[in-house]
Amino acid sequence: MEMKNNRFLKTFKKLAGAREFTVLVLVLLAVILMSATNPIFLRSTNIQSVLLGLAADGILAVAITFACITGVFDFSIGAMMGFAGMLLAVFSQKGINIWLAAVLALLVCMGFGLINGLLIGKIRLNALIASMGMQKVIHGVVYVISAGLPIRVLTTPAFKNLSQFRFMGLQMFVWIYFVIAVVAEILLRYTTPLRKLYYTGSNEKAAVFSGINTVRVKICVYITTASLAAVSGILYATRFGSATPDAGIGTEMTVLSAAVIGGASIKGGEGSVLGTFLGVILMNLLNNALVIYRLDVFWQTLCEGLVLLAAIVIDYSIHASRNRQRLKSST
Amino acid sequence: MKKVIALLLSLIMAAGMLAGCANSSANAPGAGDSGGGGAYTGHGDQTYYMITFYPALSLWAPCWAGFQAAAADLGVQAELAGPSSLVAAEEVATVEQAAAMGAAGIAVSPLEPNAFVDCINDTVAGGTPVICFDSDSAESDRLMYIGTSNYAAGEAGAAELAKQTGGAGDVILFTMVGQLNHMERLQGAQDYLAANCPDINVVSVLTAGESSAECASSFAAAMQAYPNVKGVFSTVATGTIGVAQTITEFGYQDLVNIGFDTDPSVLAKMDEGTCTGTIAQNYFVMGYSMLLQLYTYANGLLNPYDNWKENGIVPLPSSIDTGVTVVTMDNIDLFRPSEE
Repeated sequence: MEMKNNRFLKTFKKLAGAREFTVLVLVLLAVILMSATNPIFLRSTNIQSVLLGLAADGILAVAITFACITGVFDFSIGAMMGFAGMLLAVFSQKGINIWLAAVLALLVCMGFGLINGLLIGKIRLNALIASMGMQKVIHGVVYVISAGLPIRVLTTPAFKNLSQFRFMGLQMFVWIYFVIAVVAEILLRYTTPLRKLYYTGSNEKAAVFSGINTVRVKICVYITTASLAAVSGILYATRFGSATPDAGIGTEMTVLSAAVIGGASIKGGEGSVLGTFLGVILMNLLNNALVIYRLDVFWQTLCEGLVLLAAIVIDYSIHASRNRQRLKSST
Repeated sequence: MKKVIALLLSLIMAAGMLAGCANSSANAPGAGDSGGGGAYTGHGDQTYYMITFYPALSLWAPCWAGFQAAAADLGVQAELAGPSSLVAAEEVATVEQAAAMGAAGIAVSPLEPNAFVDCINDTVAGGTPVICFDSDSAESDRLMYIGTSNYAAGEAGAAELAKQTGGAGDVILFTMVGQLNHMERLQGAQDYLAANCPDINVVSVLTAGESSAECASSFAAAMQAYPNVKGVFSTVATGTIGVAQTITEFGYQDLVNIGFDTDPSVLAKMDEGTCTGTIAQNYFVMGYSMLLQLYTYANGLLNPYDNWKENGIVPLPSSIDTGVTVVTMDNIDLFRPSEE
């Protein structure tokens, strides 16, 4: 019995030491508090709307997590999302089969991802500036091909089901996000190629000395982030039935916030898709709470900012104290 | 022979004096003089600027089309400029650049009224006429304001919302907090409902996010908090699309959704039945009027008083309200983009 208790304690300590644990606790606290104080929160339609909202940002958040772990920035993902949706719409208007249009849109975005990877990984341009520059380029291309106008996506019922079809009460958009998140997390944790992202992000020189081709790693990361942004954009445009030139503007900072709350470090080497998932949930719970608690609209932005700051401060404090304890015990 | 030469010279001098008098009466200020024949035919060397934020946004497309149409009719050049951001300082810089490049006139839609006061004053003092459109910088020395009365547009939206909801019930207003034109529309809507619809209750004001997806999330949450809502009026197109999407996804088929603007996404939602009306601003008229007024002023064509310029009198009207049209399924075809 004592052995079982010890094992349980050991496992719990290990879990509690995980970066994601704090965010999980915050999410659970939020859920318990909202469930206890507002009967609306647990209604199935409200849960559905929260999940649908988080799916929209979630796929982009997976992308930015990959970038953060590798120690790079990709501020072009919002623009890429809008670009993919616009390409889908333009191709469909030209009479191209919608499935082929989606594949073409994905391939074009992957091409831009490759360019990003070469500029930042191979030529070693500053990632922040280069990806912001690419963001402007992509936005510009969107405006040129759309002439500034929203364009309808001419879709088929089968394709529309990618975002609209409901399975167990949830839309396919949400399920697709779950699948992407689960696959990404498993690959990051248990596969050697994706572990290289952590080595590259935490100490690039050491990673090079240990035989990791960090240039190739970064190129692959940028192709991946572009692909995920494209998937998000295609689903977004399909959901709303049209592509707008300003879709995706500003989403980079929102999803970066979710990733950082979830434990990703902008310095690189840290983070997980699970943590980001919890960060996205926390932010969407907050957005939901601001409305269902009937908070005055002029107070919402302030409250959102204060809660986010509090979450980051709590997370930072807990992990700073743990790091100090680890340093003490190792000396 | 000398007499013939003298007579010819006299005739030439007389002809020259007559021609000179005709030109100067067309150009010089004088009481009651409104230019002459040929005044509205162009100066191809003049370039007029339309400056706004996110100039490539679809909502500016009809305004720019009107501006260009006027430029073509008047034989002048037109340029569209502005930052792809919501940073007022960047838009101010664009105005300054246009003035430095010798713009004959500038029409600007200021992001934030106070931020533009100095820049507009300096530009006007430097001899370049400036008018504001769609949103105003009333404290500045801009010559006039052309645009939709945002307050009246809000009233029109609220009136249509009241009409379609039968004048009673809970409603939600969707706006963009912090942007002057949207706040004016919101105020117009709130004041109209308060004054004319005692049985309508505005249960919530929501702020539209940066995307239709954010708006859809906010509205879906609001429908949980206020399940008896009968209608919503959005002062912004992203709000309209977000509400329409929530209607589709959560089955609120009886909800009245009054939107704003007539870009193809909004019209598509009307075709689907998830948007029951929208408020169209007369952007083409706005664009055309802007250039016409700038041209009139820049070329001194409107001369109501002697020495009006020296006396600081602006001959243009202080404002032109280009009005709105309520779009429903009865007249939606008028607002569809033409097939090219």
